[in-house]
Amino acid sequence: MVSTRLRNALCIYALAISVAWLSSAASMAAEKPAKPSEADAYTIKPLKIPPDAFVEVGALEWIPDGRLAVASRRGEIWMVSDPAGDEPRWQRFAHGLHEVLGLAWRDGWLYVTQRPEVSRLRDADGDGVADVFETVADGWGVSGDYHEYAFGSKFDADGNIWIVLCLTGSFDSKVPFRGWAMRVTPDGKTIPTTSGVRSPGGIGFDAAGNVLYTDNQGPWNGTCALKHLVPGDFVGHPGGFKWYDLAPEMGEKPAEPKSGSRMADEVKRIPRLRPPAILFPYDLMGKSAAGVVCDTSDGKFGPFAGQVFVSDQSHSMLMRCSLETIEGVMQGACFVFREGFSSGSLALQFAPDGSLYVGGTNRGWGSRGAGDFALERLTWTGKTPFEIRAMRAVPGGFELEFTEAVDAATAADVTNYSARGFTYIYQAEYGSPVVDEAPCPVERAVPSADGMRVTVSLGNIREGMIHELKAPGVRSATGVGLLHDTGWYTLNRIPKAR
Amino acid sequence: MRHTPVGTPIETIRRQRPAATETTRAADSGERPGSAGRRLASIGWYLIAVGCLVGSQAAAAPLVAGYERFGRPFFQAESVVESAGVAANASSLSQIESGLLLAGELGCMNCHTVSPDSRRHLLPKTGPVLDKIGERTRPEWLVAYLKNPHAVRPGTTMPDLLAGLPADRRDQVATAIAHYLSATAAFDEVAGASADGVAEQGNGLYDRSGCRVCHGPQDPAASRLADQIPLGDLASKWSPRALDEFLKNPLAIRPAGRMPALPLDDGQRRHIVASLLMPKTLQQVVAFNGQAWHCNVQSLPAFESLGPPFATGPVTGFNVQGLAGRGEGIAVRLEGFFHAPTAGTYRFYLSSDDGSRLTVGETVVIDHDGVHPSDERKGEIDLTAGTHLLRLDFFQAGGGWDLKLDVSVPGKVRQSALAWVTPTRDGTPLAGDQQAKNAVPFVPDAALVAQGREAFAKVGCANCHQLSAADGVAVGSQLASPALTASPKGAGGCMAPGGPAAGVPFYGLDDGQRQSLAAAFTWLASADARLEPTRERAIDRSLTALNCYGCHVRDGRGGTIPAVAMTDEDGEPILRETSRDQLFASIVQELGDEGRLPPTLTGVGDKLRPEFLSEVLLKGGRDRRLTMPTLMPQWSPELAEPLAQMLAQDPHTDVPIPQLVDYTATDIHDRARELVGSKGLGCIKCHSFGGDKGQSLGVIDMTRMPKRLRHEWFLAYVANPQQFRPGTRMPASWPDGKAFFPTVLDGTAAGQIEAVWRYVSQGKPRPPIGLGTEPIELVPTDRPVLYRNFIDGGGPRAIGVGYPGSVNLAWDAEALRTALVWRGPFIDARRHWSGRGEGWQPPLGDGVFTPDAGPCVETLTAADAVWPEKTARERGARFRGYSLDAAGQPTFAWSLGNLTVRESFVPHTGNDAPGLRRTIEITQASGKPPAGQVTFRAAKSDKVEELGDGWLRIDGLWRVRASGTDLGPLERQPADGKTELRYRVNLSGGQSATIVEELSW
Repeated sequence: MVSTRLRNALCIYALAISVAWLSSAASMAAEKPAKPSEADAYTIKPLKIPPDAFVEVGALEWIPDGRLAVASRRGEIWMVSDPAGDEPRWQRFAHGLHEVLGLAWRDGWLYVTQRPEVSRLRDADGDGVADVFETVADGWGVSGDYHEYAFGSKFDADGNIWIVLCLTGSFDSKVPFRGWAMRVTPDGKTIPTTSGVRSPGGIGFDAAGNVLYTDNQGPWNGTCALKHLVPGDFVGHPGGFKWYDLAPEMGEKPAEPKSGSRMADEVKRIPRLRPPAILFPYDLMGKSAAGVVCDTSDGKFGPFAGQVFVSDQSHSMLMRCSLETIEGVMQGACFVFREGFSSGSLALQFAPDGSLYVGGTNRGWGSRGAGDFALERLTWTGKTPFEIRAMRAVPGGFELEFTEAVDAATAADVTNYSARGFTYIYQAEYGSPVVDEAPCPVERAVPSADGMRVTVSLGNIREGMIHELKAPGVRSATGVGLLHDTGWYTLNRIPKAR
Repeated sequence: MRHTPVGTPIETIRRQRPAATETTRAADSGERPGSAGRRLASIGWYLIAVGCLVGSQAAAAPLVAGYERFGRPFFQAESVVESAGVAANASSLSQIESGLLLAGELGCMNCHTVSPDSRRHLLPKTGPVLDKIGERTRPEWLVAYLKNPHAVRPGTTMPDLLAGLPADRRDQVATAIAHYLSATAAFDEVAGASADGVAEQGNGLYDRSGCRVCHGPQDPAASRLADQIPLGDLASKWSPRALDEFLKNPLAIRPAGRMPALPLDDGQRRHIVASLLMPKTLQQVVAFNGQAWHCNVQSLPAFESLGPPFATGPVTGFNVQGLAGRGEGIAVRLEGFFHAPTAGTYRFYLSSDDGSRLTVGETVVIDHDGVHPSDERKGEIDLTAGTHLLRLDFFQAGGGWDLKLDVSVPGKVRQSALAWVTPTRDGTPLAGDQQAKNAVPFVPDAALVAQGREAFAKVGCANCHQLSAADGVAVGSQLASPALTASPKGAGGCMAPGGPAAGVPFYGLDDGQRQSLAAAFTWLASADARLEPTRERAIDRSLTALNCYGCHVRDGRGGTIPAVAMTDEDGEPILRETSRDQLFASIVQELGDEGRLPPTLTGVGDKLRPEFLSEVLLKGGRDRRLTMPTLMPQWSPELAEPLAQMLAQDPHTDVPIPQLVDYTATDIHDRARELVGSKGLGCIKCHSFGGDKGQSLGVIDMTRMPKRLRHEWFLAYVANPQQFRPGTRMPASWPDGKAFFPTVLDGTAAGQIEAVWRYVSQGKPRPPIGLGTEPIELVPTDRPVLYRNFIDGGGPRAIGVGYPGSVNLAWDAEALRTALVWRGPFIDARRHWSGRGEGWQPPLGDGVFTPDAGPCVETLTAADAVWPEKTARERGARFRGYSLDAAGQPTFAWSLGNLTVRESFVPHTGNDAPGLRRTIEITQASGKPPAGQVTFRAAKSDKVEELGDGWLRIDGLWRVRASGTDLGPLERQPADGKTELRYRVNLSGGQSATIVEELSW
């Protein structure tokens, strides 16, 4: 018997062509004159940057006095007053730091995650420029390899900053705790927390305070992902396993994952291995997942309050995530949200007014947005886009929640949907092709009475697969097509009941 | 659904080459490779046995790579083909095809006449040209090889033409032919520049450049793939120069072209020569007796006055650390006897860290004294033949150590001196074993030469080998062979099972090969054989015979995918062969398999221009050298041209070429230049341009594309790379046909891609924006500039401080020290502020020195206690940060035990020498008693000079003066052969102290 996988692998060209054809066919079908655009709902406005500033934005933080702190990969921190205005005022707060990729404000101190340490900065003499640079924690090593980035979070509920430490290169961990997530406690201790990190692009929290970080395609990462960090867990790349020797509180090192396997299989074998909450299909979404931020604006930013947004450096875009927890495992769907930023999108920061600041750089890694750097403000126009607000797993299929009521006729027509499942190889080699691809026949689509939800029943649902669900033919009650008609759901667990 | 890993090692189905099936010959000569397993092999079948790789035991059946990989009958079994479906069809050869392959590779046509119809199904292969073979091949090797080719080179495709003769007669004829061949020219031992290679580097090049793909690991004991052709003992056959010449252009000697030339430069090739000829077990050789002393010196000591050594005894390799019991603070004298095989000039190469000296006899040949990192020095000496006392003196102060001595013996490849030195005068060096064999110069015997010449023509050598006599006329063959027929002779012919017959070439065929050949000959006589082979069939035959499949995939065959459908223990197919996959190394890991595996040949004629197909086959490939260590070799025109022509007929992607009539050429080029540059689509983030890697990853040069690629293919590929190469890192820069720069030219994807093509097609396009980068010098003006990054000499946590007035320092926040001080320009940030920012940046100015070896303040148990050696971090010391004063000058803080130390600096920039004043404030945590004597260390130096007024000159480089009311007098403490300048610190009130240290240089 020839297995499905073999056939898939041999027919990879045919697959890729058909996928490309499907997506272009879908976009052609949706290209009606009335098609709304992303800009109708969300506008991007670049901030004016002084001509002598070279601000490759690595991190952002909102200061309670109304200023926006902007950290650059060149080691500067700028304070921007009136960032939403037409003439924001820039003042350099600090310089000479080492590739800053995390900012957090507390009690008059600006906490800075730079390559070798978390430091805190203060302007003691009130001249607007930092003069105290205290080392808060440095419980990890740097060998001198550029790849050894350190991304830092804001404060969690306990006052900790979470740090994700990139490996030395893609495969190795030459100095302590490269390839780990650490917590820096308020009293300056560095606590090894989670192993398995490869090459992060950002770290943040969901609405409930769960810690999420992005990891990028490479060894043991078939594609980019949003991963949930839980103390004691292992999140996929065994390159940093040797540091379990320095972290007795983490227990014995987990079993080595088997290269060439599937994440779903290895999760069953290795109890502490936590699967990615969301896999971002390579190139269908982005190629370089980066910043993580939760919409805490209570609706000021539009209909997605509580959801998580992830930037993509390569595609200069924002992705949107609807997350849920099934049997203790976080999972969910991702959607394209907003494209067209001016550089490689990295740092994200919500302002109290509900606008989202997006900072970018494309140094070293190219991006669709061609600027060397960018700082832009994304605001909601007040116009609700017709979108799949959330995609949730239910027994036998998925429930789609929309931002506006659907047209019952198109929403109940199964021919207006298509679905397939696929995944990536979990392997030591760099990246992975799409594998295990198979269609999911759309069996039923049942709109709710208020038209805000549709339950779509699918055949051939498989645990561990990404399930792509397209709804190109569904119209809103007002006759508008979806702004983005596709959700990709990483189905770690199939719920047993609704 | 049950998943099974893709790409797991092949554990289930394993193959071994069978040994030859003959038994009579083994019995009669007793010098054949071991007969173990021959009984098994005589079943004529493939073993499902332990190990997918062939062990080191020699197999005598001819080894044809394509046959071993794709043609073995086990995989032709009907059931396997059916069960594995398309995979097996794509991967294994039919019995007829495998027989045709063998018939070509074994040179059947060189003796037997075949019909013209048949001929077009066979790729001819002749033997090496033997003109002047005596010059390049050791006579002893020729004798041994001709006596028993299958034993000397297991797997050789040369038949044993003398196998049917009685043993004594066979040896006689073989010796005669060897004399005849050796008489063509005198063997040339002179090596010259060919001997300059370094074996260690050659090993790496051999493994990475592609040699290993076809030949397997150099180590004869290591396991190899079934289709890898072992090299045998090359040192017994070749001189360095001959091997170098051969590798430079293998086609000159082997016009059949199965061995291509790798486009290596001379140096690389000679490294490979050195590694191929170097004995493999050198590091285990005991060549020297040694004496070791423990002492802390900064240069080679007077060994005679050192007193009794710490240890004496034999030394394995150059492992002086093993003798001395430690790797730092040692001085070692090694003595042995160098065996010079001939009188002549000997060149030695000595590398060491730290200092060393080579003395031969009474002459110092190389003086490499002083503290220094590992580097190499050369020296020459004229020696008489015989033994000479060789003495190697060495010392190591601190840090890593290294010691290595190589020698170029006249006529030999450069190799480790270990091969030529023995601990006693009467020993035999490793190289000497070989030398002994050559001790009696070979003199061709005129009578044997005449006999040999006759035999050469008579037994059939001349059928395959060209050998021009002195008059330039090739020796003709007198061997008469029957025409090939559909059913070759069962008995008495080349294919007869059992042992060899008199007067018949003996190939050592196994049963599988015999069956394949029989099937092929039967087919050649059939009506089907009168048809031309299809293009795909002909291409496949060439790629198989030339072993292009060793590296490349075409239409599902070859590369690192399995030879046949293989399954793992769960019956799931294995999609990649791990052991083969590991043959391909990576330079840029981020590129994954795209940067590592040679490109696919599926549709290659669509992709590449016909001219370039010919070029890359004839001249080898260089376009991927920045990302791929495996090299595309050069093939002979006879093979390359027809193959290129056939490949060029692959179906072509056809897309319309936009005309862009509304734009001038200048417009098109300028706009495309913007698109390619860093402000546009950023193509140069990955691709080189115009020979400049710039900040890119070094992926194929864009200006080479019009020379390589078909225009239409380029347009189609760039528009949708994933369609051609699923999973490629090449982005779709015009996703769904949308342009990111809709105002550039006509705003269409097709138009812009065409513009890029035209831009890079110019003779010398203007480089795109952002290709190179300008220096980014950081210049302090009114306030200090801080620069925190990887500073060379300052550690990965260095904080550079450039003060106005050209005084600079680098504070090491890991080792807690003032790591570097220098004058002049501060630093160039370009390295770290462009591209990904990799590597270490040294100071931009000069007068660089290191004033501080580690934390400058310690609490010692006693005033003369050893300064702690562990790292600051290991002892719990921590960087605490810094503050900036009103002038922006930093004060660094750190803590160690109960002490907190603050170090601040004020630059001194008067007319005299530049200087820095460092103020060191020490405070002790209150309530905690002192744990010992708090001590300040101003310097650790080789040489201290008192200059008066408290100033001390250190190592002749810089001056220091420490002062302060809390400071005791200067104490000089010897440490590791240096002197530490220490001061006891009295904490006033038991709590704090201040030290002022002035630095000047």
